[in-house]
Amino acid sequence: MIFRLMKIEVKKVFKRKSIYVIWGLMLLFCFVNSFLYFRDYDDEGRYLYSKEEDINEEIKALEEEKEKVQNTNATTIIKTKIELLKLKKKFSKDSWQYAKINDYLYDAVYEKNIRSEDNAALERYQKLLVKFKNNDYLYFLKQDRDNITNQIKEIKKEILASDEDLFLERELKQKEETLKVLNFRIKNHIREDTGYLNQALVCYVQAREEMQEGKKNTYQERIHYQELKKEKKINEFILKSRVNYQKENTVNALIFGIMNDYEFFFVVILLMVSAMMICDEYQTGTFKFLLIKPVSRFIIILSKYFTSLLILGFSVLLVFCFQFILGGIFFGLDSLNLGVIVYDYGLDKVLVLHVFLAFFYSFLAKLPFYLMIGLICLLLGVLTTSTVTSMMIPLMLAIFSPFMLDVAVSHQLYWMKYLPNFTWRFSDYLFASSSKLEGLGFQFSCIWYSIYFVILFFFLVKLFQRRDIQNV
Amino acid sequence: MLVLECRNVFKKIGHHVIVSDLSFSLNEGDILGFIGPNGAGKTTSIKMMVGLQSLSGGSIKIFGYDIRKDFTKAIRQVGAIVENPDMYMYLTGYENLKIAASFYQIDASRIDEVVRMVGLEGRIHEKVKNYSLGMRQRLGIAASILHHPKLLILDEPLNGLDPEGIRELKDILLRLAHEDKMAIIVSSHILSELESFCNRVCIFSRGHVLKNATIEEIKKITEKEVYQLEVSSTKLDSILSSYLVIDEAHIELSSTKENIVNILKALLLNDVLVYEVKKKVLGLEDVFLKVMEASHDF
Ligand SMILES: Nc1ncnc2c1ncn2[C@@H]1O[C@H](COP(=O)(O)OP(=O)(O)O)[C@@H](O)[C@H]1O
Ligand SMILES: [Mg+2]
Repeated sequence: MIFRLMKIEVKKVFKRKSIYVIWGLMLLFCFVNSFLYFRDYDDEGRYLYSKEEDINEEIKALEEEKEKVQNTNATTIIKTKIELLKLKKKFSKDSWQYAKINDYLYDAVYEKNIRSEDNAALERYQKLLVKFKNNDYLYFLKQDRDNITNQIKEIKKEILASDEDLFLERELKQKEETLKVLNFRIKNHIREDTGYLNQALVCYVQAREEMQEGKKNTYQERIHYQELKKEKKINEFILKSRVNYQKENTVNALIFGIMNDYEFFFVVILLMVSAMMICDEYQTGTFKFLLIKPVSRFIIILSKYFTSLLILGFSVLLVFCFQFILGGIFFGLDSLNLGVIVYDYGLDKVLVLHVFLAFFYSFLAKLPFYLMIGLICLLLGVLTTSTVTSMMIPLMLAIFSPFMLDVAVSHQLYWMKYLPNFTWRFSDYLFASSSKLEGLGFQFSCIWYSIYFVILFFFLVKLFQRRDIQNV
Repeated sequence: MLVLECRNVFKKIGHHVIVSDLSFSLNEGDILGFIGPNGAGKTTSIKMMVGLQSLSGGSIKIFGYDIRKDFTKAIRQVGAIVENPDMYMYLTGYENLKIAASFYQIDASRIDEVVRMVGLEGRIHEKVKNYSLGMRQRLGIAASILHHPKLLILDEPLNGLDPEGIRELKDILLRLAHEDKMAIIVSSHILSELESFCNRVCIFSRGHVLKNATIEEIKKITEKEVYQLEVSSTKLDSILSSYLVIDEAHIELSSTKENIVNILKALLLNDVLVYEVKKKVLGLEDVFLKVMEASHDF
């Protein structure tokens, strides 16, 4: 019987225009989203239109400054800067040359300018420039390595001379780190450009540095430490596998992001369908038609609940398929074989999952949230018969819960962990990660979520069974 | 066979008593009229019978099943329109019927049969929102008789029907009562609509059942009709035993059809001129008054 009822409910939902409007908007959003990723990101997954520094403007400012200065040395410095900027303009902003030109060429250009009659300086500069233009980054990296190695030797000597100089020890340590990174760069051919390998290396080094200084006393610090660990592991994995897992313009990224990107649509669809199935029937009087059929009211309300979830599932599937097709058209399906990487906090390991599986996990983790707001919506619908009330309150709850969590964290309001809209956040525990709020854990959430769910469900059923049908 | 039994049914919302002490029973083949002005409690009584509202007291049994305790068993035998023929406006008439049918084991030929019965063949595949009230009424009736219920309850089914439609509906109901042995309850605020085909009536007023009687008893009460006479003099004490003076030229009196001739004769013989004799149509209020009078007499 319940399946027959669900079939009827689904049929009724599919006859409503409003649901098609939302679906239409959702798919349009889907298309625009994919298209923008297609248009605005390059093959490496870099954003094409990030804000550029205006080199011409800088040059102009420097030239004005040059007019004013009398001192020859200062003039030379400005002249050098202008020359470097002009050179910089010739390189793509994603290249290592663009990022490192001042570090690598400043001295040589300055030398050439200050001793304009010295041919040796000019020659040195020209040689260096050829290497720079020919993309010989290894030369420069090795140059850096030699410099650092020398510096380390110096510092070691100084340390021997003085006794227990903490400042020097620290400096030595830093230099040694830098040397390690340089060696890694040379070995693995990682330029200092905007490519994903360099990004990963930078993030990795930064995370590791922060971890060394990080304290682990309070809950917040421990959570932060966990995040650093994740950052480190993920980037380490990328460096080792040399696969751009974090590229955003792929089918993988689009599908993995569905439960987040389309959450608003899913919430609205679920609430709309739930409110429609209850309030509309009360308001137009069609509930009388339904409630004088030989079915118990329990089965009726259950069928409505299941139907709303079914429509939600259908909507998710719709986005999934659409995103899959669009992603395939725009970016190709190659990335499917790569999978996506996630960090498992419990195992302290990076896992490579098929994107479908990862997506399914994210869906499962979100499911309790949808189950609860759907239930609340039905309950309010039966209680008030007002579409607006029964939609707006759960919607508000859904929208404001993240803010409420932030407030709870920043003001240390630990009692707030008992709020129903805090216990439904199961995606916080995905892959053994932890909630931002101390005390809010997986087991705690399981217990309290179940309690709330059972109470609300029981209340809904009893209320629906008892409710008199008023005159309309 | 006893189809429906209401015993001391009582309904209170807040402090407001809406139905008090409604008791009656209904056998198969009976057509019972619920008569009463708006707000008398007819719809509320019907809602309690089909389980849409709870009872504050008393019991309602359909084929021996209590409507509250054995809801599904009891309601399986019932077809009803409550208040309005509320259908899903965004679906076609046929889709509505299909939904109704899916709750029972009913095949498509039966749907076609009831559609023909209520005369909606031509427009059954149109959306209900394009229907007139009369057509919705017909559709509602079709939906409620789809599963051959043993008890049919129609709340104000004549609303919005044209005279032709009213006649057709009466025919359908009479046929259902006689051939299918259906027990039928029909409510209305117009007595004359029901008189012609009900065999029993319940008269409601402000939540009280004033009278629960067979149609013959009611007819006896309403048979004494009221006549309005335009006369040359209103001082008629010597001629008439009871009459009502309305103004200097009009009087009102109640009499049977046969007796009015004798009254006119007596007036004329006493040199009272009669210019006009008008039969006054009995409004529901008049009937109530009469019923009240009559029930005091008994
Ligand atoms: N929920 C309610 N609260 C208070 N009074 C109500 C409620 N529902 C109905 N009533 C009152 O009950 C009376 C009977 O209504 P109803 O059964 O619809 O009358 P009928 O169908 O005979 O016109 C009306 O006076 C109405 O105002
Ligand atoms: Mg009514």
